[in-house]
Amino acid sequence: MSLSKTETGVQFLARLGSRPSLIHLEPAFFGEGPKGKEVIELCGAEGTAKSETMHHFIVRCILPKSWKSVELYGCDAHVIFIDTDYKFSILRLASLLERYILNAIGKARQNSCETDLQYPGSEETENFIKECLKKLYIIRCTSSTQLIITLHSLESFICSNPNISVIMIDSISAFYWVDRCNGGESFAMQEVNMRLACEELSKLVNTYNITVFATKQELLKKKTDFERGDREKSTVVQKLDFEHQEYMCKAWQKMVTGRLVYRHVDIPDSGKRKFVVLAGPVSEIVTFFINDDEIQFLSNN
Amino acid sequence: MAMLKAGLCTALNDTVLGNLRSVGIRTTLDLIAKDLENVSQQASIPYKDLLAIRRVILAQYSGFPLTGAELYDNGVLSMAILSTGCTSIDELLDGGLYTAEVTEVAGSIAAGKTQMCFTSAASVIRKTKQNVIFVDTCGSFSAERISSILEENGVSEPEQLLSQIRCFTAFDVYELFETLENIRHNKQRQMDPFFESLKLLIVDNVASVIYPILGGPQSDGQSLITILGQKLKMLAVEFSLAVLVTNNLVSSEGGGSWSASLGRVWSHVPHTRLVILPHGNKSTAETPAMGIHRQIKIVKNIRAPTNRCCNFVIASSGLSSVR
Repeated sequence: MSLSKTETGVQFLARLGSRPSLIHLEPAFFGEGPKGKEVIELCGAEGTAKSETMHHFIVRCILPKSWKSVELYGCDAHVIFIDTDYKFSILRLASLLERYILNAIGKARQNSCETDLQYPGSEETENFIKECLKKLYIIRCTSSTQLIITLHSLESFICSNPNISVIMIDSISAFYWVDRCNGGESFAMQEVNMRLACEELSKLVNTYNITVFATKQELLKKKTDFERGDREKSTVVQKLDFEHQEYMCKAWQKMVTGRLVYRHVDIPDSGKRKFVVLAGPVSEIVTFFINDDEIQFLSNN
Repeated sequence: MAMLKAGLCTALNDTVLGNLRSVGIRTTLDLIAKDLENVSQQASIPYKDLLAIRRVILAQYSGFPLTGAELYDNGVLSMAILSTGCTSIDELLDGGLYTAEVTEVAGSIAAGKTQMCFTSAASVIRKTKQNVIFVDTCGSFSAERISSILEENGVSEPEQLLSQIRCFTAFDVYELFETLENIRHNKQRQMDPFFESLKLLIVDNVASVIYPILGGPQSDGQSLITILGQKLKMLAVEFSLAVLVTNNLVSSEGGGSWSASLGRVWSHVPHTRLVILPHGNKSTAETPAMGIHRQIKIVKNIRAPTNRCCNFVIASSGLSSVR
């Protein structure tokens, strides 16, 4: 038995202890899941609401199940958010949280005849939001080397906090071209940093039962008929091509257990944009609008 | 990637460093990624010492986790919205240029991109006591024009206000990197009061430094675009600057639609993208007295609905909305 197989008491407890579950995080995308150890990739071109849905997932993760006897359907989980793209906006997240809470209270008021359910004061809401935001840890990374070192340092962090059940990475492909360029001629050298990062991430995921969400930009893509023209008639969902070009290293491809492929369709004249997602975990096509900071699913696709 | 250096921590002296080199461990990353027990046996360094070195490296080189609550408090304090000087564009942008964001305005030749930069710069130095840096990559900067915009807006002595703008020229991408690093350095050192109240960084135009590098090997060009995007966003986020960049327009295959140039990799960089639409119909009288009419469309934004348009006119007082 080699030394590396031994573990400290803290690691042992962190490994065995149960972390908050993400069941019913967003049934439209994940059905019953996602469960621990799942690695879900969100891929799509620019402006297809990848980061936006990530923000919504954070909201659902860090909210408690209920507040002031109002059901919020949150997971009460702690989240590590690795921001490699510098796209994360805390103010945006705070306003999404506020909107979500007020909507939930509004719905609860409609459904119940009790009139004693009042809207909380703005200060009370803000304090509650800040309380929720304490469950989110944001780490910014500027290079793939830093990403690897950060992932290594997360082990003790995850051990000491039994409530962390999600790692989100926006985006996993941020350093792709830089690594390709720095790696020189050898393909293995071009991928080595990403491979090391994936190995460490996969260790964290499997040892501590963590769920991973990562966005992947569509940096390379096959040209499709949809792109070449036909934009006028392209509101028909069936015409969308969900084929996507894989370019990340093998280590990442092996880790991914579920994939959401994002596309968007501009609806002519109305100026609205419809988002269409092929949700791998439930293998269904999900269509939604983003209206007033809310994801509104179209029930019939 | 940082090299291992003696003195990083007490356990890492020259002998240990030599032993590590002999087993092929030169950088911090090599040490982190290897199994320490094997390294300890091969290089005959005590396991305990290696653990200590590893701990120091992790602490020094990893990203530091901040809680959302801390970030929120900082965000609320440092957040600002800068007016572009044109009310209709401000409305389109939900208030104006946001700090900690990169806003891109794309347009074809003579669409009014540079004029929008000038108007925004003039508006920021006139209405707030904040400073502006203008990075000029194509010889477009004109102090006279900004001065006349200020005068037209009722500033009697524009020369004094103009000291709130600094212009740097960068005619290739490496000079641009140097300029951006310089700004970062000055921001961190906090010696020059100018940089302390710097709020707006303008790069006009990014396309002209990127085009020359796209001819070489694909990965070189794409990686430089990635790094440029990263540097701009890091400046924006870390120092709470509003970054305004201009870009050219290209037509997609088949004609039909127009989109910002520089391809897929760059398309992910800006937080907000505006496109000045190519002026199709020349029927509207374009006399200098009436100003030049343009339509601008918001195609990407994280806060407000996209695909909305507004009109503006380029006049002697800069950009203004059409009444």
